[in-house]
Amino acid sequence: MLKLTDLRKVYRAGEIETNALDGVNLTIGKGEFVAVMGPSGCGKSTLLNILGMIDKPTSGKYELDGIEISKFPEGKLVHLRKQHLGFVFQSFNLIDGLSVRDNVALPLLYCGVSSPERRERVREVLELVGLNARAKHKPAQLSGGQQQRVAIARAVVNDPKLILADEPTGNLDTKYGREVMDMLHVLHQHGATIVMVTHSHHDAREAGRIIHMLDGKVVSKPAEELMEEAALA
Amino acid sequence: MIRHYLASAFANIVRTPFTTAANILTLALGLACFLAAYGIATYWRSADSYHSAAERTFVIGQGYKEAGAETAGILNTGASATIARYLPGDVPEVERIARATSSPGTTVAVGENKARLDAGYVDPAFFEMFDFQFVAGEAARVTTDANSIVLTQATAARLFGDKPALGQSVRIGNAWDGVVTGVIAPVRQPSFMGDGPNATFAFDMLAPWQRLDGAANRESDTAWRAMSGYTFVVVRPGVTLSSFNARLGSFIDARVPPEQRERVDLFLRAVPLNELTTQGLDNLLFTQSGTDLSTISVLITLGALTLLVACVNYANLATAQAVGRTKEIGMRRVLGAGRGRIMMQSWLEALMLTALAACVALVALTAAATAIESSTGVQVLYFLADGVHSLAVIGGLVAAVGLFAGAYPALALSRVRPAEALASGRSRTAPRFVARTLVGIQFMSASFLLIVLTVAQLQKAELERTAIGSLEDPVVILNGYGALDVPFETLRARLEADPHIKSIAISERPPFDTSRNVGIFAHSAEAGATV
Repeated sequence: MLKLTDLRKVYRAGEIETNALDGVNLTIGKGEFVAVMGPSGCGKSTLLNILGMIDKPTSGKYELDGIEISKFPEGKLVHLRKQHLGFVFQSFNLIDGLSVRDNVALPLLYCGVSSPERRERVREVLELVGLNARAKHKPAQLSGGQQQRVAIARAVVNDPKLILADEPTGNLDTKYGREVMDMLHVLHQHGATIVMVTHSHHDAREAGRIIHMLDGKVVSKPAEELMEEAALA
Repeated sequence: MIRHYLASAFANIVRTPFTTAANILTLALGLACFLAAYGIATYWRSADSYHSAAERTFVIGQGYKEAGAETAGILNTGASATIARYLPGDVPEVERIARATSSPGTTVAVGENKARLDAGYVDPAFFEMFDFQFVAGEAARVTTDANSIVLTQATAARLFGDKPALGQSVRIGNAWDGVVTGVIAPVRQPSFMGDGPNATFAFDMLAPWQRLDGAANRESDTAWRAMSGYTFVVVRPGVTLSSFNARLGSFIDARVPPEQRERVDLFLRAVPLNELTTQGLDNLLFTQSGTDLSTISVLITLGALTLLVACVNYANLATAQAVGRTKEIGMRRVLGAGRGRIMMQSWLEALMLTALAACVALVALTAAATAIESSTGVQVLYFLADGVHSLAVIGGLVAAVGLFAGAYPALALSRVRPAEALASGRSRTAPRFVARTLVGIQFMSASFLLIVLTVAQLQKAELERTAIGSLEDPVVILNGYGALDVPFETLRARLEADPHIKSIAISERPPFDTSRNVGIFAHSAEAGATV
C-alpha cells in the first residue's frame, strides 16, 4: 500500500541543514499495523507527516497504492488526504469551540458529504467509541481519554484506508491508554492500515511490525541496542 | 458549510471577546465616519431632487478668466440678467428660463403692521420649474399677474395672523401694492431655497422680476458684468450637461464682442441644480485657491481614509489574533480543508464582524443624528429613507469592507503549514512585507488625518482669535439706510456721539451675507464695512 524509496527530508535554518529523514526505504502492506519507534529527534514524526501528506519530502519517492504522489500539487494532496487518511495525535488536537459532534463531522464536511449522511455517520462512530451521550459537549468538558476517543472517531469517520497515529497514548494514563489501543485493534480488525509512532514498547509490541529509526534512517534493531553497541565498540 | 463557518466564527468571538470587541469598535468607528460623510454627501446631493424637472434643471454660473491665465477663474452661481434676454432665442435646447434674486430687508406693510422681509424676485417660469406646495392660491395666477406676490406660510401668519392671506394687499418697499395670490408651505429641505441652513436663496415672499429695482437696467447690461442673482434653465429632454455647456460656449462667443473679452474673458457653465447648495462652499474652500476639488469629494475621501485606517487596523489585529488559532487551522488543513476553504472561513468571520460593526455604527449615528442636525442642519441618516437602495449601499459597504479588511488575515491563515502548526503551534503565515506595508499605510493615513485635523483646528482657533467676536465686539447692521433720506455724514456724526459706538462704516452689502457669493463677502470685509 505504501512504498517509500530513498526518502529524504532536509530542514534548513540559515546555514544549518538538518537531515530529518536520510534515505528511508520502507514498504507497508495493506491491513498492516505498524509501530514506529526511536529516540526523540530520530525523524518519526517527520516520517508520519510525510506519510500523512502534510509535509513534503526533499527528495525520494512516495508511492500510495502504486501512485507516486510526492510531486503532487497541494490541491491534489488535500483531496487524497481527506479521502483516504485519518489522523490521531498525542494532544488530540480537537477544536475547542466546536462540539464533539461537530469535531467528528469535520472530515465529512470537507469531503462534501450531505448533512443527513453526516449526522448518521457521526452517530455511528460516536457509538463505536462510546460517546454518543457526549455528542453536544465541548472537548474541554471531557476527560483526556474521552477526548482521544473523539479524535479516533474523527479519524475513522470518513472510513480511511490509512490511519496515522502519533503517540496516541502519550498523554493518557494506563487505563485510558488501554482503551485507545483496544480501539485501534478494533479498527485494524476491520481492515484499516495503521501506522503508529510510539515511545511505549508495550504499545509497540501490540502492533504487527515494529520499525526502528535512528538519525533519520530505518534501522534493523532498536535504537537503544545500536547505541549500546556503538558505545562498546 | 456556511452554518459551520458561522458556528466557528461565533466560537472564535466567544473565545476572544476583548480582541473581537476592539475589532468591532475600530471598524464601527471607521464605518461611522464613512457613513456620516456619505450621509452628508447624499443629503446635499439630494437637494431639490423632488422637482419634476430637477434632472433637466441647471443654474447658469458665470466666471471670468484673465487673459493669459491657464485655468478658468472662479465660477459664480450668480449670472448677468442679460443672459435670460438672449439665451432662449439663441439656444433652442432651452425649454424654460427664469431668474431669481433676493432683496433682504425689504419693508412691507399691511395697514399699520410693518415688517422687514427677505423678498425674492423671480421670473414667471420660476413657478413652472419648481414644484412649490401651495397651501392657498395657485401657481398659474402667479405667473400671469404682474402685481402678484407669494408668501411663505410663516410670513402669511406674521402679516395676517389667522385671517386668510389670499387676495390681500401688501405695500412693498413703500413703492407698490402687491396682491397675495399664493401661500406656500415651507420648501422641502435640503434646498437652495427656503429656510434651511444650506439655503442661498432665502425668502419670505416672492414677487415678479419686473418689480425689482432697476430690473430693466440689469437686462440691458451689455458688459455682462453685473451678477443679478440666479439664472435657472430647464433644458429639453435628452440634452446633456456637457452638450449644453458646449452650447453656452458658442452662445458667449456669438454674443460678447471680442474687444470686450481681450483683457478678461467671460465664461458660462451650467451647474446641476443639486450642486447649488455646495457651490459656495466649494468656491470658498477650493476654487479660490485654485484647487480642483469639491467639498463632497473631500468629505468622502476623508471618510474613506478613516475607514481605510480602520480596515488596516482590523487586518493587523485579526492577523495577530490568528497566531493563536494556528493549531486549529493546522488541524483543519490536516482534515482536508484547502486554502480556499480556510480563506472563506476567515472572510466570513470578517464579514460577520463588519456587519456587527455596521450595526454599531448605525446605532451611534442614530444617537448623534439629532445633535448633528441641530449644529449643522444636515440629516446625516437621510440616505436611510431610500429603503431598498440604502440597504443595498450598506450591504455593499459591509461586503467591500469585510472582503478588504479580511483579505490579509485570510491570506495569512491560508498559508499556515499544518506540520509546523501542529508541532509547535506556530507557522509561517503571510509575507512580512505585507504586514510592514499595512502598518506603513495605517501610519501614513492616520498621520495625514491627524495633520488635517490639527491644521483645521489651528485655523479655527486663529480665526476665532483674529475675527470679530460676536459677543465682545458686536457689529450692528442698519439695513435700509437709503430709505432714511439722510446724508451719511450726518448719520455718522449722530452715531459717533453715542459712547457705545466705536466706529461706523457704510457698505453696499452687509458682511457675512451667505446668500451672496464669496467674492462680494471678501470685498465687503476689506472695505472695512465694520470694525
